[in-house]
Amino acid sequence: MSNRIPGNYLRLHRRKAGLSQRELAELVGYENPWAVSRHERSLTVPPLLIALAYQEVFQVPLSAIFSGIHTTVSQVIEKNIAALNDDLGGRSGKGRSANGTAQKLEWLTQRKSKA
Amino acid sequence: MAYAAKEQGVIVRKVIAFEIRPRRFGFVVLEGLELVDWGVRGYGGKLATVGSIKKIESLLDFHQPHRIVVMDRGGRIAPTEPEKAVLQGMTALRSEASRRDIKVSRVPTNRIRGYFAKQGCGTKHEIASAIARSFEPLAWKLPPKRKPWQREPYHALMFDAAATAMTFLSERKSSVTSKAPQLGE
Repeated sequence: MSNRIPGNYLRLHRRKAGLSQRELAELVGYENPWAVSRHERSLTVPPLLIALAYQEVFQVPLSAIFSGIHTTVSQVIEKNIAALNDDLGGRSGKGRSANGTAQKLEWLTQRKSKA
Repeated sequence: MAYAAKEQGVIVRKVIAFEIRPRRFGFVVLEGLELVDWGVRGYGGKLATVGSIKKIESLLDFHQPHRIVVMDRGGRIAPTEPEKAVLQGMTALRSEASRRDIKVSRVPTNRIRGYFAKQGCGTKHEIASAIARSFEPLAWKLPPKRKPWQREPYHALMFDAAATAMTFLSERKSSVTSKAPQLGE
């Protein structure tokens, strides 16, 4: 219970398709349904290849299937990006790394405008 | 979809509706106005007493709802044994909800009937058909119209739970999107 990451829509998509856990497991390449059950209950995070397989099976983006994990990752990344931005902004525009710093700041500005 | 709303920072309330019977229960889980889970579960051949409420607990663990909705049938002075089992099941559900700090709302049967009567649905089968039109995944579980001598279909409990949830949501103007659910949406 305490290890759960809320907001996982794997079970919803599986049930909308009328698939059993065993059938979904076979589709994504597992021999038994236990792993699918654990992914549905958010007890474990699926490996990348399996996650991509889920996306392919349901034709739904990964961020929508594992929205809880996606939200958590987004929040952490945004926090880290803000820290990087502050760090780069505090550096002087002189010296050997000035061009590199400018390039990163330009990328951060572009990234922000895309969001 | 509900997750799209979540990503846009909208708080989507999760409601779980139960239809408790002596030997099994039906449930639906709504996130906003979207159906995210549904089903019928038994108590492993036991009656719905305090000890056999484990399956309800596991659903509450899984979905972590904001509110539980149940049908209020009213009480009888001398309940039968099956009615006593349902009452015990409801008591266990309420104590579990209280332990988890989840609010429990009881919707009287006459309000459910009234809500669906306004939509032109008088019988249980008409109500179930209307629910199946509203929630596509449930259409696959819609039981055929039963004859008077036939027992209640297994999946009917899910539709009863969905009817309770829809009535509850229709009465809560402020719920989720401030838009009451309409049949056939």
